[in-house]
Amino acid sequence: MAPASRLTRIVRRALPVAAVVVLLATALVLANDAAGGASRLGVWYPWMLGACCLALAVLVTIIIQRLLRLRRELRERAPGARLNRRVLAMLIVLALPPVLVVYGFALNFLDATIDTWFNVRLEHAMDDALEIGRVYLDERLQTAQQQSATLAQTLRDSADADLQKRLDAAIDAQGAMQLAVFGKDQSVLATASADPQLLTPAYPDSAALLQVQGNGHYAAAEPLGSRLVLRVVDPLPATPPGGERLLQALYPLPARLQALTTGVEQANFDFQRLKFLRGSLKLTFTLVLTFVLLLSVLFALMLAFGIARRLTAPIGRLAAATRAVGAGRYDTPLPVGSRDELGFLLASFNQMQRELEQSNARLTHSAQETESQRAYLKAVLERLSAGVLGIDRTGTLRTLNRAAESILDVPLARYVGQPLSVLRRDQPALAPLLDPIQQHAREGVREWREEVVLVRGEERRLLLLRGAELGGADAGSVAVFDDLTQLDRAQRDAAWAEVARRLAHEVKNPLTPIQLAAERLRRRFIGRLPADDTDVLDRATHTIVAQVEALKSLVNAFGDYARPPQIEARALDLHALAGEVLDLYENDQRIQLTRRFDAHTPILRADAGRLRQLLHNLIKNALEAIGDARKPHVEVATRDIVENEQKWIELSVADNGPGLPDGFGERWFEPYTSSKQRGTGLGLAVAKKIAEEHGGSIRAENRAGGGAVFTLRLPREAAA
Amino acid sequence: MRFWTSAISILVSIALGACASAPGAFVVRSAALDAGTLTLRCDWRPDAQVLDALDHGIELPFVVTVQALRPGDFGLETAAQIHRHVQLRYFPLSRRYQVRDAEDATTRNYAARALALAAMENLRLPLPGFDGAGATQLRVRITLDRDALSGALRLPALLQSAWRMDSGDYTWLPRAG
Repeated sequence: MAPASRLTRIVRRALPVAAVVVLLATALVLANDAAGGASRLGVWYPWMLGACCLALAVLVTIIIQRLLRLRRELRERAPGARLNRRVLAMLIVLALPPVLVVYGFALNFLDATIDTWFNVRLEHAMDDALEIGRVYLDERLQTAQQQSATLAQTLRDSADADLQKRLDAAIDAQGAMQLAVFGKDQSVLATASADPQLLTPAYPDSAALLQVQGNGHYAAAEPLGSRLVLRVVDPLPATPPGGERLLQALYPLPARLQALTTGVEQANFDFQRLKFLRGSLKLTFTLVLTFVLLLSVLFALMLAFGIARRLTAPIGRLAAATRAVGAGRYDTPLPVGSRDELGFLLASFNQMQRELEQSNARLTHSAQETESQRAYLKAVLERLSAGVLGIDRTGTLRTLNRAAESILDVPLARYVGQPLSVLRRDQPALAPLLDPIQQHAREGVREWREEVVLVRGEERRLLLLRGAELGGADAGSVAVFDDLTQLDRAQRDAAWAEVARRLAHEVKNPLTPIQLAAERLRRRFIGRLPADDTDVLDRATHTIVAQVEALKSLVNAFGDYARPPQIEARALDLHALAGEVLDLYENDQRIQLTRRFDAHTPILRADAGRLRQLLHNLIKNALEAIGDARKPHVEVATRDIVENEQKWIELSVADNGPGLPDGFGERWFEPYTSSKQRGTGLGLAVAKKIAEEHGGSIRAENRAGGGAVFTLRLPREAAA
Repeated sequence: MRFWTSAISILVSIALGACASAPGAFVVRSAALDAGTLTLRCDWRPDAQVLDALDHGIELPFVVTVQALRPGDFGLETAAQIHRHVQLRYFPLSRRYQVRDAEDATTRNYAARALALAAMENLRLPLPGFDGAGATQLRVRITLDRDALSGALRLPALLQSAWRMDSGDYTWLPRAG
């Protein structure tokens, strides 16, 4: 912790304590001084009151600061803030009313108590006692005045020089404390004293002199120190005129009476003083009580803040930690500060947090393993050439792989989570596939296997469908299907090739002897036989030879089809090769040829001879399809395409014929499939075979404006 | 209810009194120092509350502070200083008002309050031991000694303007020779 922040923290903690101490000390001092007499602390009153105001300001500021902090926490919905407010309110409700009630009662009690000091009877008694004292003093004054007057008569004729002797003689007889004769110039002509403290007589003041002049004498009881004395002043008639002198006599009160009168005066004095100070006393004690009230209230508030915070802080931390745990963070262990129920709760929470952390770690590990397994399974599924469909117990599609979409040519991913019936409704062509799956799922067959055929338009796919129930009560089932179309076709192609090979072998051998025999017959007998017979022979042998030629052509075609793929691939320009083939047809006025070659020069790696044969087959097929009904118009075009990051070159041969026959499909590329009367049924089969030998494909479709188009797709040379 | 009303009025009066000033409560008109005796002529018009306190036996203690000033390094500095305590008090039995010089222990009694107040306005105080020789200025000040007041009166005297009896400094030049 930084020294500055530590100092701030210390000051923050010390300030309330200092404020409380100042308030308490001031209240005590004020209360003590109000009840007592003089105080050496009186000079510090302004400072003490200023310190009190400052202390109150400090406490109020601290409380306001804490209230503002609480309000901010409430607005921010800080954990424990509402509980803090509730506890604070409860503590204030518990603490404040008793303090206020005690304050009110104390003030009323104080007021009533002070007022009881002053009742009318007591005051009258005090006044009466004082009056009695005054009456007695008046009597004593009359006596003293008579004595003084008598003494004055005896001294009137005395010379100044005799006065001292006369006074010394008279003081004991008079029972006076002091006797003094003053001259006109206020000088002391003679003095006698029975009290060593009264050796120096004081000249009568102007008020006394005025009374002497008015009444002929002055007599009064006067305080002298702590005593009460009777002062009598009489003029001494002057023997020589103009030399008036004054006799002043001080008479004591009897000791017993002195004490009584002093007591009466002191009691009356105290009563009157208290009577006057009643308001001040009330004010002082009210102020003291107010200080104590404010001290109690503010201190109670601060304590309430402290207690509320201390009580709710663990709960706030607990709420924050709970949120952290809810968010998956387990790194907030709570300090267990006490052994009470709250401490037990915090310890339990920590224990729960540790267990949750361990459980979460296990769960995470398990989830990672599951995810790994799932990724592995997904990778396996994605790399399977077979299509896979996972269906749960309710018949909802849950899992599929890319091969399934590829084989079925349907975006199946959007059907994940939907019943298979929806897929079947949207894709009725998949019914042969989906129906067995649903049926076996309903019947609960553990393992099953079927071959299904999907027909979509001209396309026919043969699928081998296998299904199995997955383990577990609600695991559902899985269906795996392989596309056997290619395999089936390959098998059929192989079968045809074998047929062609055997046909070529078995048929081609006798053809040459037949042809030779027919030609020998012609040479030997034509011209030797009668004209009619010669004509018959000529037509028969001619037919035989022609048919044998046709059979040879057929057998050669079969031979081409059956020949094993032995291509001599080399890089070649497809445009150049196509141009060479088209040039052969260019001079034929019956045909209109159009070339629409791509601007790019397509380089292929192919067997030029086989490719040339393929082009011939396609053009011948087009010309044969057009027939004689109209002028043949054949358009040959090329274009580059990129599909699945694979570069291809497509060559299309379009015609203006009647278009593809109804039901044209893959089987039209099989041998002996032709819609033409003169066709061998091997042209497209051979073309397809050559295309496949080069890693390509061939497809046929109708043109929008009439006619058909056959498109050959071949892979482009990688370097091109 | 009555108590609360009075308490509130007291507090309000305290607040107002604390805010108000009490100018001219005690004004020194002239001062002279001759032969070791200070003669003061003052104007004093005490508040009725103060007079009431006096009649109820509350002793009014005053402090008379006399200073001899002479030039120093930083302006005038105090060469000598003396405090004299004068008390005014009423004795109910003898009905006498007494002005007492606490240091000199001399008292003067008056049968009427006006005479006692007049005596307070014309003070003659011996200043034994006060050396004003060499002073270029003399300064006097009379204040109510609040610390010597009765305990219960000390706080109100601090807050209420009626009890703020302070003449302020009165400065005069000493007579030459």
